[in-house]
Amino acid sequence: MSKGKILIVDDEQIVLTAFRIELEQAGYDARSALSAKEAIARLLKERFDIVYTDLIMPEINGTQLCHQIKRLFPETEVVLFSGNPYEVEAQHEAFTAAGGRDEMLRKPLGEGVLIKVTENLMKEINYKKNLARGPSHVS
Amino acid sequence: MLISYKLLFSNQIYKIMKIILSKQKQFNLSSLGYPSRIVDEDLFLWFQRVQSQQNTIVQLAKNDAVANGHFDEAKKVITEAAANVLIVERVSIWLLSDKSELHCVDLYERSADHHSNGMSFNAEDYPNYFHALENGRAIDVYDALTDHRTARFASNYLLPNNVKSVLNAAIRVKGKTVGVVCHEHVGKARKWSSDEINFAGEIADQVAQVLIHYKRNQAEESLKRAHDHLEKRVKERTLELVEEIAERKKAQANERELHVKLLQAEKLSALGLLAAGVAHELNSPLAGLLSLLRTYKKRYSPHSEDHKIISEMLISSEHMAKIVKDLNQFSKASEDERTFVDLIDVIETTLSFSQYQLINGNIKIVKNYAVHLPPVFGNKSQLQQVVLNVLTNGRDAMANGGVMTIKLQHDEAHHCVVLTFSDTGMGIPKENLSRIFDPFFTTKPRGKGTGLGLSVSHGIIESHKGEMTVDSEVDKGTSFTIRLPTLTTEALNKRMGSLHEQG
Repeated sequence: MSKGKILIVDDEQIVLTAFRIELEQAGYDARSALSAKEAIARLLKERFDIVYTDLIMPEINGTQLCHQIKRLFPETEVVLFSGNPYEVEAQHEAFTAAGGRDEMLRKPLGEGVLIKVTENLMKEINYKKNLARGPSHVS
Repeated sequence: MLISYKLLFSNQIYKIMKIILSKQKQFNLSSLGYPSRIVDEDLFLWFQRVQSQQNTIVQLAKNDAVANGHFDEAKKVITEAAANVLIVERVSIWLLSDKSELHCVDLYERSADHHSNGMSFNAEDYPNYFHALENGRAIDVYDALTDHRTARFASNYLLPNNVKSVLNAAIRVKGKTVGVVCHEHVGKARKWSSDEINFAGEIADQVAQVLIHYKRNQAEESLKRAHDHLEKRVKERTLELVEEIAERKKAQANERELHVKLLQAEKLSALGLLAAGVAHELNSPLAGLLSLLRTYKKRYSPHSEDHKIISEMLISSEHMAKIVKDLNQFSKASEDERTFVDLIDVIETTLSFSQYQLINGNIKIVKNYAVHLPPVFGNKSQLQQVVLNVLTNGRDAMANGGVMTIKLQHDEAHHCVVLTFSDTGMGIPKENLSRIFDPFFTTKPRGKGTGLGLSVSHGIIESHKGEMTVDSEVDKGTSFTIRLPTLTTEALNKRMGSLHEQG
């Protein structure tokens, strides 16, 4: 049983490969998408606990993608990661308004940061899941 | 027959004259301009008198004051000489002013041997006298009180001064009567001889010569004064021009410096924009690379060749990441958050996490902080970065150890805090000094420095409206001076007020 299902969205193939392997090594079930469109197509097929998305991508950007995901799957947590500190700060408000997570990841990530953030998020998600499931267990 | 006038002045000639006269009874002296009634005995006295008159004229002509036109001195010499030769009590020189005022410039009284001056007459009140003066060389008056030319002076001048006979000669310059020399006989009336009248005329001519000289001297003097003044003005103006040129050159130098600074600022801001773009483009692939290398490094045994190779790849990638991060500082400089910053705190915090490196490099830290330093308004983490960059630079400059002196002073006059870091390192050659703040300029071995540290620091200090300068001497060391503005009390209160409102 995997520790959690994670989707990585970035227009840079090496980022997808690297993060997928890093997450898989840590025991997560990781998938990747090269664009927002591809990500939505995947999301419509299977449910994810966390979506890590780049901000600046062709056609649909990270904030717009977040908006779509939260509309379709409110329980899925969407985290922004970007290599452009300017854009990140400029988009922060819009992104959180779209339902995205407050914490953001700056590329390049420090060693072990991705796993640490994922672990923390999964704890929160599992807690919420348990909370939602709680009454039914009792009853 | 011709007898030269000049030859008459020697006694030898007198004797010859006597012989001629005795032989030629019909010889008429009046043909030479001398009275025919002169008899033999008088002839000797007459010769003596004329001789003394001529000697006097020659001596006067040779006199320094007369020859050089020193009027004040010459007028006295002339009146005295005339009085003694003519044996008259009073000799005076009068000059006509432009307003036809006759003014006495010197009066010599022979028996008292005394000079005076100052009396004046209005020429228009004495038409007869001046008419005569204009039309003849001299006025010889036997009885001045009754003579129609001089009678008008009787009550106000002649009687009070006991003057009986007068011999007045006009002083003429360029044909114009400018004054008169008065020879005044006191007591019994005196008959003036023709040689005396002639002599009076010559005296007046001498005065005229002196006046001409005097006027010329005055003109020359005023010309010289004008010339000197002009020369002085030229010198002053030259000096002014030299100063102006120096000032202009200084202004031009300042302008050039400003231009260079502006170019530097433009270069940095252009680089900032570029950096943001580059950072975004590089950060994603770098993130992937780093992540992959870290993951794969773990898959090999620490002593294997592959592990070593991946480690090297990782080090290079991390270095690239550092460059990109430094580049980002340019674009981040403007969106900083500012608070009151205690510079001692900034230095101490930075030292605490770089102390290990410094001590390891055998570097001694000397601190010299002034007390009661005012806070500066700025971004603490940015200022820490500046301190760290300068410390790192100093550490690298002192590869064999040394002393890093950190000085913190308050320059109250310029409202700023001055922070100085001086190392005892190898120093920076002059040709590199001007490029030290240029982005990507580094002398450190490849892979060690990004060439951005000092340039970023410079940018940070400028964004704080401060100034960062460098001073260095090869083999002696380098010192970086950072000046950060302190807030004036007024600005401080305003700032505090706005913080309260926000707070």
